[in-house]
Amino acid sequence: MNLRTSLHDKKAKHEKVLSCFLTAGYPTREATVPLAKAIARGGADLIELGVPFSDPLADGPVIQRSSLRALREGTTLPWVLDITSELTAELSIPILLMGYLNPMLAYGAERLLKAAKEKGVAALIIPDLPIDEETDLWNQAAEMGIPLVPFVSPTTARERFAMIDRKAKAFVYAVSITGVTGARKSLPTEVEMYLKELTQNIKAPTLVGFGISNPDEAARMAKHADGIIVGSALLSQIDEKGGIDENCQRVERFVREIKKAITCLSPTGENK
Amino acid sequence: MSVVTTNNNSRHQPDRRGHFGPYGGRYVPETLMSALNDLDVAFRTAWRDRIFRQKLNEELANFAGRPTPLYAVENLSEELGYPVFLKREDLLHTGAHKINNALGQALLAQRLSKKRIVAETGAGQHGVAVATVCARFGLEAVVYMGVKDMERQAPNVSRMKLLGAEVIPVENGTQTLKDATSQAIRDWVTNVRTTFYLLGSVVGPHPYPMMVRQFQRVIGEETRRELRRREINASVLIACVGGGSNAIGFFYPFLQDDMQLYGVEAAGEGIATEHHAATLSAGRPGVLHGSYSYLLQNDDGQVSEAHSVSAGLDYPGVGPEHSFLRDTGRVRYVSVTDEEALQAARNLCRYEGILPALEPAHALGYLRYLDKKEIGDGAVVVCLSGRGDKDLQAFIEG
Ligand SMILES: Cc1ncc(COP(=O)(O)O)c(C=O)c1O
Repeated sequence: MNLRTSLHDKKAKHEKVLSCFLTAGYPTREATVPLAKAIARGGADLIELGVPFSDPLADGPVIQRSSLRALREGTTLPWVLDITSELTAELSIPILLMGYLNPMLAYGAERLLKAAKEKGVAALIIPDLPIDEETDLWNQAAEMGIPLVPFVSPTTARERFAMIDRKAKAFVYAVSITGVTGARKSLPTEVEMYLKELTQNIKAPTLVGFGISNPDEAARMAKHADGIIVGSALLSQIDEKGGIDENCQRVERFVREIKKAITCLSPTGENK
Repeated sequence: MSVVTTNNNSRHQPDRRGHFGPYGGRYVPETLMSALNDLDVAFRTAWRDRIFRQKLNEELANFAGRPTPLYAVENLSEELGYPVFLKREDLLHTGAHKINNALGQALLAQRLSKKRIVAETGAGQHGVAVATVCARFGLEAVVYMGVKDMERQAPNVSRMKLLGAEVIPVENGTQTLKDATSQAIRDWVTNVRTTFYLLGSVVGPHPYPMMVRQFQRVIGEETRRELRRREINASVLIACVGGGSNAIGFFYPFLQDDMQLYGVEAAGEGIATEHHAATLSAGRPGVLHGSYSYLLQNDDGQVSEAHSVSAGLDYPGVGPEHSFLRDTGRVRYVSVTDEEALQAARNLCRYEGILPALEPAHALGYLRYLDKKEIGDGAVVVCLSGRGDKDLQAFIEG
């Protein structure tokens, strides 16, 4: 089943989706597979593996730091692709890659799509690639079944909604606030209005991310979208000096709490 | 990657979406797209508006001190054996060409009713220009600067603060212009509704490369007029290239003429080493800070650290229009080392009584590599983009 169909299925069943972002290679390369498995055990529906970049423009301090650390650990795009195929073989949930455009261009856009297909990547999220640039890449990715995920933000002009919806072959990534990634204690009240307007105008499944830090905020955001994305708050659970097992336990517990908070929202409601 | 525009005529770049051939564009988070559209519309409207242009020209004349002289350096000319002229942007208020662009964008910010200005700075010249225009127009100025640059360009930090700007030290990554720019963009993404990003060079997402060029082309237009008036036949123009704003402003009105144009990048310790900032000579196209252009990067597409004694040239990227002009061959991009630039600056100071900034000292450093055949019986004009007060320490120590 492709990603969009499975997201639509969940939507029909009123199941909220939890997507978890993990910088690949953080805090060490050995930790990535165990951490991803812990995220899956915690109940995540999707995993976004972050491909580190030297200059992550759209990211706050936590993801910046994790990216630089992962680069120092020797993390590269080819390595992340290999890890993905290892994970897809073992886990039943989709693995997405999220990363900035330049390392992908350096690898070769076409070569990347082919490799992504081969390794079982479900979709690509590229925060510095708006729908207006690289038309060929958008089209080719859609044709090959490795959809690129478009973003929408509180400042997006309403006229762009339809265009973004058309580009969304998997889902739309709704940025909750103007700003960079990073946990916020709570998100401003305008977010609800904006999400309401967005979901009324966009047919593709909508996952909201940026700044979601705890179960309460997760529940609050999930109410107005098809799911949520958690990144910085999850990375903050990882102790760079801690052991893998200990970090995995913390991450699993964190994911489970978030998942529980958004599961209570479903009409069928029982907790797993 | 992108579709190459069929129109290769340099005068007709960029296309509507900011592409110079395959370069440029808008590679930014979705959150910035509407602000960039608004800016594009505001700039185009203002640029056609007689009153805006008049206001800008008045500010350039009375506040900044335009026009700047085209000055014949006689001792240097005699030594080199051909006439050399300097376009004296160093004589402008605040000491560099950066004020041309800062004034233009500050007037635009006013039109857009934005009261908070963010900017990045390397050498501190752009930061000082921003702090200055903000003081002049009553705007709040927030300037991001790498801590390494704050050390080596300390006088400019004090100036910015005196002018009322908040200078935010950037400790990330390289602690130079690259990370200052990233931090300024992050601030802008966060405060996009209230804040105007006053970018200091012809880099970044569309419309900045086009807009900053338009604000800087006054350098070349004045030069052209003056050459005509004095019946000087110039055969070679030289400018330094960091992001490329003084160079494109200087070159743009001459692109259709048949003179040879040289853009000089910083070779640092030499372009055969890993310590240089010669993006167009040694980089490959890629995406950084919102546009597709030549970039110093490793095989994995990670951005490399640039190195130059000159903080204003110490940047691993370059404006997309320069990438285009490199590929078409219209401009020749060359490089000059730290040592050569320092020596050229000391010579100009000692024998002409003009202390240049380290950035244009690179342009001066290329003079001795020029081919006399190419110069013929013409003259060479160098864009002296700024003065060297900020660099005293480097000249004395180096
Ligand atoms: C005097 C001077 N010249 C040149 C530059 C380099 O910038 P650009 O290449 O945009 O002219 C700077 C940048 O700080 C500068 O201060």
